[in-house]
Amino acid sequence: MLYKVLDKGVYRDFVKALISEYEFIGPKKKDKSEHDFVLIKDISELDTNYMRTTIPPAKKILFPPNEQLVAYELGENINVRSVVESSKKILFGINAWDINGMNFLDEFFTTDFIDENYISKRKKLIVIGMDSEPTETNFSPSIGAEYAKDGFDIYLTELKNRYFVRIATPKGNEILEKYTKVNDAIAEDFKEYNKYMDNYRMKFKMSVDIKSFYDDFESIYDNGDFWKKIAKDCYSCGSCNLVCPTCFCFNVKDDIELNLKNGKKIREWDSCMIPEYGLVAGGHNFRPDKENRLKKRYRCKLKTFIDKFGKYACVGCGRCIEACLAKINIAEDINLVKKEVSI
Amino acid sequence: MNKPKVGVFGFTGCGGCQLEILNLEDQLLDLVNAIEIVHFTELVTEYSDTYEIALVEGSITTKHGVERIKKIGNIAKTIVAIGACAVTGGLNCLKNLYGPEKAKELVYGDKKDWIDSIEVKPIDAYVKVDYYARGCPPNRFEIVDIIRSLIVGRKPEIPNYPVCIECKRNGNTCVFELGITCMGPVSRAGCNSRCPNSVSGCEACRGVIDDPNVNAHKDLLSEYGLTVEDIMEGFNLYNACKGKTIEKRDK
Amino acid sequence: MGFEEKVKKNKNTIYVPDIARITRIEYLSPTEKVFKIVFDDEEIKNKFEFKPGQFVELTVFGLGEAPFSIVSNPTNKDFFKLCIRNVGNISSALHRMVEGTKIGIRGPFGNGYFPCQKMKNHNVLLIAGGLGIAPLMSLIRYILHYREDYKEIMVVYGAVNPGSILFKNEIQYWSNRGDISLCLSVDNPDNKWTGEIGVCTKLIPRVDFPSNDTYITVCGPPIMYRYVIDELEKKKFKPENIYLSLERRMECGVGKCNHCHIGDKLVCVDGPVFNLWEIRNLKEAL
Ligand code: SF4
Ligand code: SF4
Ligand code: FES
Repeated sequence: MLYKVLDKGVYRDFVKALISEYEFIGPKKKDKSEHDFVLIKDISELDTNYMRTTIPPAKKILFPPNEQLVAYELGENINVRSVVESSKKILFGINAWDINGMNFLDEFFTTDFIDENYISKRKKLIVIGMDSEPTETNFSPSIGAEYAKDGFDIYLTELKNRYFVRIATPKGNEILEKYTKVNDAIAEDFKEYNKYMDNYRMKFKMSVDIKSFYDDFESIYDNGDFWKKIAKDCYSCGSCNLVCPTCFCFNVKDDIELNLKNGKKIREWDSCMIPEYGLVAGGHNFRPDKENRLKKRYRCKLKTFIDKFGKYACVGCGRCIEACLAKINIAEDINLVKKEVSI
Repeated sequence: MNKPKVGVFGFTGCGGCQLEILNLEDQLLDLVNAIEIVHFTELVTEYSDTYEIALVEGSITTKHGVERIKKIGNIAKTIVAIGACAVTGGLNCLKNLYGPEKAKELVYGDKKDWIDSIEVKPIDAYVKVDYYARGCPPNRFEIVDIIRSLIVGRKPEIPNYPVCIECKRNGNTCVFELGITCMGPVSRAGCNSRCPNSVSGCEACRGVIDDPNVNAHKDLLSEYGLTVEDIMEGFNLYNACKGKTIEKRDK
Repeated sequence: MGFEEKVKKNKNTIYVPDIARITRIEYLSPTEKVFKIVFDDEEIKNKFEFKPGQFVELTVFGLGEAPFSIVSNPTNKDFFKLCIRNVGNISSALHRMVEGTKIGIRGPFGNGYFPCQKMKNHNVLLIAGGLGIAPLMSLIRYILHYREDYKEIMVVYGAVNPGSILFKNEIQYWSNRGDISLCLSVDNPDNKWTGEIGVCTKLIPRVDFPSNDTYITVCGPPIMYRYVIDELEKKKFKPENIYLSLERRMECGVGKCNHCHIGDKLVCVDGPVFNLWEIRNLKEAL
């Protein structure tokens, strides 16, 4: 990691240069409540002062909701080939918890088998991070995701008249050298950065007691009444999954054209909260009840990947809480599990 | 592969569903290459009684209609109901809320007895329907998918999950956030979340999912100042014929 | 960054099937057929190796993909066989197919398989219910191929009725061999049936293999497992020696789509065969 500072006076020119040189994806205001990460053509569209995004930016780019995997052509011989799309992009203004969410996906898509469709896009993505305002439902400090230690090329933190710049990769350094001018950070800069981070962490209102969840969860696992109560209002609508920066479930579909010759396989986001998720050919459903599905989601988010990667598959962004019309709240439920087990 | 013979039939409805097929444009040519259309009310006048697949639009509202649909049921191997009217009875079902006699009177006054009009029912009240292309209008790509599935020999995949899934895939801001109410969480997807995409609430035109959480949705809508009557109206717009099932689940 | 060194260059991604041909179709019962499959490409054919209990993802172009476990003997290198029940879109399309049809294959998949090496010099008890005999066939055939490496072998197989017993010819051949004991049971006998009647779990108490010298493999419909395990535990067989093959919905086969997960495990990469110790605390598993 290199530590530099960037003068606010040259910041706009730096960003402008990147917009003109690269396919530049950044936050843009969408409506009164949300921003969306889209292709930015002019700096006036860019609004890094954002709070809510429906779909996490990295997931949207690297693991899009619909993606072709395979193309085939039927005939005397069958031709099949892989379809992998990737192009060089800058992802600008992504915040720390979403970077951590992306780090999770990076690890996930390269474990056991390597998912080229994801990783070839990832390899070409230049990530420039920046803090954003947390929503009231954000509990990322409890998970340790309010700060990103890797996964980005450059991370900009806004101080009084300059940006504190953390450079994690040679690529990031190159870009800074090419398009602007930075100076080495000195003790004074570190001091102000440190104070900024303390203040920033104070902005997070929600916190969860997750330390003992790993074991507590098993202790409460068979308590049917507890889970029924929690899941009572669940619509099984899957919104919580689809907006999650670490949710990766998908279906694979075969799509043949009406000429019955050319076809493709595509994947599309799926959700473990809908009844069809556990349905096998022949009609047996392995997870027919919504409380079981909710329990399964919590297990996957908060336990499974502790065993696999030593990480939570949750970064505490609070999107699922905001998306849930039934007001099912993972943060409250974590605390509830703790309470239930300790009395 | 043999080209299956297909008949397209219209009952009470606006005819828009058949137009939806004609709107296929670039896929239409492939479609007519893949199947043989032997009957199409909106398109051709010739008439045939041999077909394997019947695509049926509209709801059954007359005695004559009952006879016709039963005849189609006897001939076709596969029946596909197209559009909300055929699938759930659709908007036409609003008539049933008044009772058939009262409705006739309201519309036709003292000439009401001249009219052949019975209680509105979806076509599956009279014949076994194999597949449903829901929606008002139905999604034309879904109609193509059903036909294609029948040709290649698979069961068409018709979603039984809520509109919210598609809405989120499309990255929409939930309209509730913008103060608009939506039937998405209990309504069947497959429309590619058409209404929320253009910032208006879903009206459940494809019917409700198999296991909707109606109580939760009533609670939610009432937070937005809607009464139970308003809510039922929301359900009824396209689901009045199926309204009873919703009430039952509610208990 | 961590992910970069893991990336290797493949010609094809993990989602691209290799083209193969159905070279023979054998009729087993009104609902089951066995498909013999040969890869088009010589190199792929030679590279393809599997262990008993593993499965492949089979693509019917235009319809989609589904997982099937391999039933043939792993020592056969030129082809492999799948036993397929006509229950879904893909399987019913396969049942309509004729010999020579081309399909797509990905795999073999599954890091959890029946440990046929570890089982050497021990007794092996194989318990199957219904179609559950299919994944075990590959193991049984392997064991019989190297028969002298194993001690006592016993197959307990339960079916709904005599007509639904699969692999009848082969079972007949086993009983002629004399070096493998066989317990067949049906729920609904016809008047010619002379074997056992009722669920196959009933036969377990009669097994007299020593608990410390026996490997057990179980495969059958989901409801069967709990009863079988109860009986096995009564006999004090060790959980780490009891191997179960589990089924879940699968989409990708490569640990990415997450549909096959049970508790903290994925059936496609951690299984499909698990030992009882591994899944003991996965309350959803059984
Ligand atoms: S928890 Fe909420 S968002 Fe998730 S499926 Fe249930 S109702 Fe939908
Ligand atoms: S707008 Fe409607 S369909 Fe979309 S997420 Fe909200 S409730 Fe669901
Ligand atoms: S089948 Fe996709 S993860 Fe196992």
